[in-house]
Amino acid sequence: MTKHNMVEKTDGIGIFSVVVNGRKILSRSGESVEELIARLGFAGRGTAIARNSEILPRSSWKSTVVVDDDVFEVLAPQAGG
Amino acid sequence: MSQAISSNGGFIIAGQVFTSRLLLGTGGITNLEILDAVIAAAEPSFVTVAMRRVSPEHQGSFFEIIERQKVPILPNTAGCFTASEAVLTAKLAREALSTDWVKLEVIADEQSLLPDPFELLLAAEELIDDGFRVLAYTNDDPILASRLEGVGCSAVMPLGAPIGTGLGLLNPYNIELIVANARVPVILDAGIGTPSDAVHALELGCDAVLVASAITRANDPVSMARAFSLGVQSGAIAYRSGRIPRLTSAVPSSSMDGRLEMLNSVRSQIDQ
Repeated sequence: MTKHNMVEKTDGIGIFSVVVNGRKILSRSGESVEELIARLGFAGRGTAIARNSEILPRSSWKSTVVVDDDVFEVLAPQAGG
Repeated sequence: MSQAISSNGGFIIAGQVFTSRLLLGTGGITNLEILDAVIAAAEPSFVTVAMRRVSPEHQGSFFEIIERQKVPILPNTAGCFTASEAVLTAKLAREALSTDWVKLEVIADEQSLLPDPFELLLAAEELIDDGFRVLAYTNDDPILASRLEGVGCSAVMPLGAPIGTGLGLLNPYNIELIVANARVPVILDAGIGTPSDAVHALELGCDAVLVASAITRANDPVSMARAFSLGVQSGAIAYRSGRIPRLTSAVPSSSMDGRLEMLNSVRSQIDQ
């Protein structure tokens, strides 16, 4: 999602940036981690999230609200090793 | 081979019996359509996976294939350069895959891909304290392998040669020393190029081998997977059977008693 259409969608209210997998992403007040991950298309099976270097269990994605300057690592198994 | 040999000829890691002495690494697999067939041909005890940042185009298919195969999944920390990166990656793997088993890799640099012994040991200690079953990818260094066992690793995984080189076992004497000292399984990892390398490792007493590139990058990965499956079986049986000692002079395999003797030889004996 581009910065432009993010601003349109949220009407410019409570917008801030977070980092997801090394990329700056715009979020808005009240957005849950579950919503953020779904919006980015990252919510497949086998996905795990670290928020600010701490594991965020899947059971907490819905209840955890994204805040300014959050840094997320969203990983999943791929071929390797 | 460690003392942990089960009655059916398998080996035991952290109390769990594995009948296949082949661990399949999926690194280098370029065609997900043949992954099913490769796993079926290899009959591995584990299939390894790396944890990587998600992108929408990479979602789904790989994980679904390995999950469908019902083979235990062993996540690794490939690509980590520090203990803290490896620990976080292992924790993410535990969350994603619901397993506390991890193949711990902490490499020193992108050129050699050799393990960083200091970061490796730090990461191993932290993960074991957190309840992980750690299988540590390590240099072919008997002292480091011993230290890793000492902090509680469930298996040590010395390299035969640097990752992806296919050079086989560059220092078989050190591998033998590691095997001789270890009370946990020894799984030869990295550098294997062909099934004879795997046989060599098993004949030296390694409990298993991990093979990735030699299978995934072969011209025919499915056929090569089968060759490795047979190779590890052969090597394990050979080790248990006890090889003959290496000698520097010939020893006849047939008795010399009762051999015929040509006429000239007989006459010379009579003349005497």
